[in-house]
Amino acid sequence: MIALLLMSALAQAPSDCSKSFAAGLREYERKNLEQALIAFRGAVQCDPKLVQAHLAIADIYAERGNEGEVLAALLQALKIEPNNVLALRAASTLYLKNGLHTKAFQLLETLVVAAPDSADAHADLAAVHAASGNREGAEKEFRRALKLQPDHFPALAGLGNLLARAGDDAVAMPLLRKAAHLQPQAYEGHFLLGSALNRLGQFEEARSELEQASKHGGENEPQVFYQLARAWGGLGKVAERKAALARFSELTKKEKEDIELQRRATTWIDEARRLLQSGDLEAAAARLELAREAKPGDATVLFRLASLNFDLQRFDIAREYVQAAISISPATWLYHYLLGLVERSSHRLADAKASLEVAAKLQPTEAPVFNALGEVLLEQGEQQAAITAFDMAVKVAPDDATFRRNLDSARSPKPRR
Amino acid sequence: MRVFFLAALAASAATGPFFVDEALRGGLKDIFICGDENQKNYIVETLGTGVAFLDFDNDGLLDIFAVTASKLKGVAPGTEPVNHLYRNKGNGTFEDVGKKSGLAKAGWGQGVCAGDIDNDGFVDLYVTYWGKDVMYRNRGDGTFEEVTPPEIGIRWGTGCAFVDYDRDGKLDLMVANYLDFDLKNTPRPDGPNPCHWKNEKVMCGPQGLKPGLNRLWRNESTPGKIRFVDVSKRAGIETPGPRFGLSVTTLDYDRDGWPDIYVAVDSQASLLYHNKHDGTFEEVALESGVALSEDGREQAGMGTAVSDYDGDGWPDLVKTNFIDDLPNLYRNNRDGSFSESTVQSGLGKYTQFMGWGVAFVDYDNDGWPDIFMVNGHVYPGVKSGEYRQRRILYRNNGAGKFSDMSVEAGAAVMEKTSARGLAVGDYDNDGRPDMLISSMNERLNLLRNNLTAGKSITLKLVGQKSNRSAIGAVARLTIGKRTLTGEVRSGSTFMSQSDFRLQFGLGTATEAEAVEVQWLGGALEKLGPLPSGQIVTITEGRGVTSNMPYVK
Repeated sequence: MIALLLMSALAQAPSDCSKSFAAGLREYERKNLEQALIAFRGAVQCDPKLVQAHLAIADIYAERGNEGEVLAALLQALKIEPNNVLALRAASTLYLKNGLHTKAFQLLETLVVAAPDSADAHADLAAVHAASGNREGAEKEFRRALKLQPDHFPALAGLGNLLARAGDDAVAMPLLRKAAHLQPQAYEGHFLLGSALNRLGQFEEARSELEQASKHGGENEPQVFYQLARAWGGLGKVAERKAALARFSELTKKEKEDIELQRRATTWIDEARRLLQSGDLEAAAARLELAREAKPGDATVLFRLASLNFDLQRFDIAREYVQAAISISPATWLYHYLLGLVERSSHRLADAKASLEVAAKLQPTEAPVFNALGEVLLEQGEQQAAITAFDMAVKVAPDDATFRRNLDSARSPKPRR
Repeated sequence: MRVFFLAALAASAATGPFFVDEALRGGLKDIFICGDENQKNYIVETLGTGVAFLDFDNDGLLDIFAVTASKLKGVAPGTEPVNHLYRNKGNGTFEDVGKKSGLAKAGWGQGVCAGDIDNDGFVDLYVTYWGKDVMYRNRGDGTFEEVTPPEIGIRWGTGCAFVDYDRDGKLDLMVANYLDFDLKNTPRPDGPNPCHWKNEKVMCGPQGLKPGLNRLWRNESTPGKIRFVDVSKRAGIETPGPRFGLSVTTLDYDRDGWPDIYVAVDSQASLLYHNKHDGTFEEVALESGVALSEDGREQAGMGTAVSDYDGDGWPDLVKTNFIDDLPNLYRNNRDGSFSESTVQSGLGKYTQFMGWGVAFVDYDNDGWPDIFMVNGHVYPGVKSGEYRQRRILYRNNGAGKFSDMSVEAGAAVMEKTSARGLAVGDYDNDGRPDMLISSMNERLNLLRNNLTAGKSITLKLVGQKSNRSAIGAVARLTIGKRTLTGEVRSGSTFMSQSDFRLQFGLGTATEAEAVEVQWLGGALEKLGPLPSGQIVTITEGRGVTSNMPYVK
């Protein structure tokens, strides 16, 4: 989705704070995404206004499929450069994908001004207009996109679909036919053309287009099979129609089950929060476990589970969960910090030290991280390094008595017997 | 090939305002309540209420029954809003006889449907509630008694329709139930975990809340004793599982002589129960093409209406939906399935309206059923979407196309309210269909039709072997090469009840050359030519038993 971002970052790396940024780029080139992320985070810590680093972070998270983090990084970039075309485009695409049309609209309005010659931007803005029922606005923007790029597939398909739905078949059909012809390997063109043909009662051609759609990526799209059923019905083929409807039902059922599971997961997380507040950690953990099964790729749920199990002193389980969270979101300092605490409680001091060092690198403004690192180092007998860590904790939070006491204590250790 | 002589007629005549709101002149001043006017914290405050045109005292004039809900707070004991029954005085005015009749009941009323459940010649009523529905028997002396089945339970009833599904001559009852709703466990817009619509905090539902179960009640009454038995499970009504059911309409879509049932469902697939002739139903909406949009998407179905809009003798369906969506016009394919023809027919013009009550009504009497829709948002105060919306009058041009005649129809049609209920009936017996509209926290609108266009004839069917209301009877009129079809039905539109009488626009024709009535009991009755300009009563097995000229 935003592969261009990193290319842009490569091209425009600034000189300040370039060490971390350059390290990130090297790691990225070596396909070591986790290390690259940590390095880019370091660059952002060094210079929070380093737009290229935010874009790079977004790009890596996009490769890992973590859309929440992608958006967070893009919004950071837009805070610094509100007219950054790459960030505007990528963030608006994400909003569109998730049905957040109002948010997408705001970004796209800026984007079409920032990049008036971008057919993509106009087509995206048109799609938002269409989704919010503004046909006039949608038609205008689709036409602008086509003026800039007459073979722009999304604009051809979008405008064709818009006009077909308004009953303007004379204009719509050539656009849809052109779109399907331009990208014969994309299911959308065949699907939209097939649907329009169904509407016109041209069932044989509709069937052919819809079968093409199902072959070219639409095999799991329920709407393709609904339209196919319409075409078969129009052709009087009862058995074929029934089969297409059965496939449609099967796919929609799965879609619904997934949505319902996500909804239930949200409820379980809310329940877990309430149970946690009432002190029933076991019951809270059980609810979170259900939520994890429903949302296995949700790093936040995994982190919450890890925290709960840490509180319940189930360190092995806590480690498993927080490591899973880190594998999804490797540049989140809090996860590394928790892993450091888990390892320390399990007396795996070397591992604890490594995790806390990563956490400190990712978030050098969190005093508890340095304090924990100091304690681990002290336990390992690395007194000087521990003093440095405690010193950092005190610098970050000078009013914290515990950190100061730890520092003083490290500087004047009790004699060993 | 179609003959378009009738269609051509009204096109020229339909100019100038021809619907006028006569509610205030008629004395219909009461405000009908559904929750707070400006802030909807719960979905129960959003559905509005239904209305009915019915002749409760058999004086030949349509009376009005209107349901009210209430408010969740701020209603002092003793001042709760009540349902109203307005008797038609025959001079364009109405008197409120609600208290005298026993129908002035408080509660969170929703919908209404009518039918003669004991075949005594007086129309009875069923009123749905968020709470406990109420069945009323008309005593025939201007008063009603409650005869609610004790097993009715606490539910959220919405649309309903009387239907003799087993053709035993007694009207049974189908009721849609919306939600198993609990105020305590539903988030508010101003509380924790609010719901959002287009980034604005709004009331929650129906998605995420627990859907209700539709019920079918079989009439097992014996002389002197009203008895309805819940047969939902054994009849297959429960089989599709819980749904957010709203309006109920009955139709014999496959013309097998047995009534089928269509339920418009909110945010889920709508339901078509096919009557299997053995007391059971099979849900076939998906196979029949009336469950979803033409894209295969679930829609927020609200109101429904049935008519043969294309004149092929087979019943077609129209359904209203949520904002940012189109209504559905489902054309009957005559093979048990429907094709959506919304866009091709010209109903794909607007997506900014949220539709509720809908009716096929031949307002210009050209012989082609037109469509009237009432609209209104559920979220007052949101930036994206008007809460109060105008109505839409679509004229059927006879060639499968509809055009928006709202502006020409006049200010009463263009008036903006957050409308819900809609009933059609000729309350002044002048041969032109009028319309009754209920809106959120507003008075009723009574749209009198003043259009001088085609001629018409009105048939009042009275069952003998079949149920007395003749619900399910189909009349076919021959006009030249055309056959006009109408079916008597209970319920339909949105939680509302229209006139049982069948009004047929005849265009320039001065008579219906032949009339055929297919009674639900099985008899087919054929009658000779019937002149236009009158209300004709046809009694099952006895032909024309009375007639009355239209009021000039």
